[in-house]
Amino acid sequence: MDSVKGVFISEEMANDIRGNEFVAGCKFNPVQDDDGRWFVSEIEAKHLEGVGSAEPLFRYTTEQRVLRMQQFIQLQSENSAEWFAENEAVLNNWLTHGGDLDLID
Amino acid sequence: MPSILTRPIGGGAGGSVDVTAYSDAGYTTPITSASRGDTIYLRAENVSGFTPVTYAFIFVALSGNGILIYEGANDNTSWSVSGGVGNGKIYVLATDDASEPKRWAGQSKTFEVLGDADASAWLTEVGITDDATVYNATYGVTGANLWNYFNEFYAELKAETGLYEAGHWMYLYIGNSANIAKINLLDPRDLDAAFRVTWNGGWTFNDEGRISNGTNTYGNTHFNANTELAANDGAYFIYKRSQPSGTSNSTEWGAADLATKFNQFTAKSTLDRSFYSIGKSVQVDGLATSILDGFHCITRDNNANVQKWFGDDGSVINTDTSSWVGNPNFNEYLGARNNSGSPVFYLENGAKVAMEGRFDGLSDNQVEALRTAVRNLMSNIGWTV
Repeated sequence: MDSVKGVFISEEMANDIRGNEFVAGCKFNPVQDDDGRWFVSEIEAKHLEGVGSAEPLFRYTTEQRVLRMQQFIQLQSENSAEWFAENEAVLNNWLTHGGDLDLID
Repeated sequence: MPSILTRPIGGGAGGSVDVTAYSDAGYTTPITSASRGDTIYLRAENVSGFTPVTYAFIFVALSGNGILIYEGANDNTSWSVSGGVGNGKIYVLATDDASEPKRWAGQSKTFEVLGDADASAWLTEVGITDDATVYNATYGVTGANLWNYFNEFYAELKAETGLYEAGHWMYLYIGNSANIAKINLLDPRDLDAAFRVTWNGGWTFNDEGRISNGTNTYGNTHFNANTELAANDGAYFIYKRSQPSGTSNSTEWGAADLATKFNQFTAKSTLDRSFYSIGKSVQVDGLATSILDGFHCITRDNNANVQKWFGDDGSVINTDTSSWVGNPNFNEYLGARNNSGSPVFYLENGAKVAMEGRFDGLSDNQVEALRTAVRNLMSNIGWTV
């Protein structure tokens, strides 16, 4: 986990404010942290009422992502050896590159 | 034959000549001013007392700089207006070099060089006034400064054949305002169709440029390379005022059709990797941090098999020979990559960007001219890394 912070909001608020301008030329962009909680930046939160203060966001480190993927692979392979065989190369590539799969040719 | 310019003005063996500037090649609309970069038409007129065979047209700014526009047998010429903004004089000198003693005459007309029309259009649209208003207190930049810097910048771009015309969008993050930062320098209409940026998330626009937060900041350029660019062609440049840390998959610009097609610049990703792509992604490992800020340009110049990455010192950082596979059919994002409609790989927290732009494919010479112009603008503002 790193030190990046955000201000957590409800999913309902996220849906309400998304795409609305909070200052001229800039729109709200609520997103979820790795734990599924909705948040906005402190800059955006200044333009919202009834929200708390900034808190650390939960974000997986590369090592944590690799661990989660290994767990996922194990789970899937238990369910379907055939699925695992088909995707082993792709998944190994993903693991090798530490969560950067989309960027790899 | 000595140059006509060595002869004195205002006398000789008699005769007279006049000079008039026109906005049109048909010589129907006289003008007394024009913007830098405009094409105007000059003609020697009302000749009497002699028959000139050689003409010279000269512009002298009141600041003292002179420009020889034309010297030759024609009594008219066109001129792409250049020189410093402000009042000056257009001179014509005419001589009948055919015989001795030679007769000659000269005349001048006051003429004002206005600011580059395209530069003025952007500055006017974003509300930067040509006066002492301060737009960057840290670096002491006033509106009058910016008007001068912009005239110089646009003149430099337009001086390189085909460079300005190849541009689709450029954004300069001056003025501490999302509303200024969203307007395209190359089409300053406040419209998505003009590639006006829609900024999303908690951006900071301050005296250091545009600052990302690494969690939800991105900008939609409304530019879709699949519809705007030709095959095997395209370029992107950025002037970045901070070094990438390499602790996240921090992406400066991009869009991707997740199947195969990428347009992207990631100066430094995790595991010490860099990625760039004009229609085909390539990975470069282990670049020194010291070369990853400042000016960077990636270009594929109408070439299916070569894309290049140029760095701040003008050298080629990498040449890639993998084949172009196509443009992603999605709007390109700033400060993130548009992954088939969703922003991912947000530019890291605290990254400082001063300027970026999108062009058709640029030649080596055009990249060098762009690099020089951008670095000069950065130096003028005080943003050089």
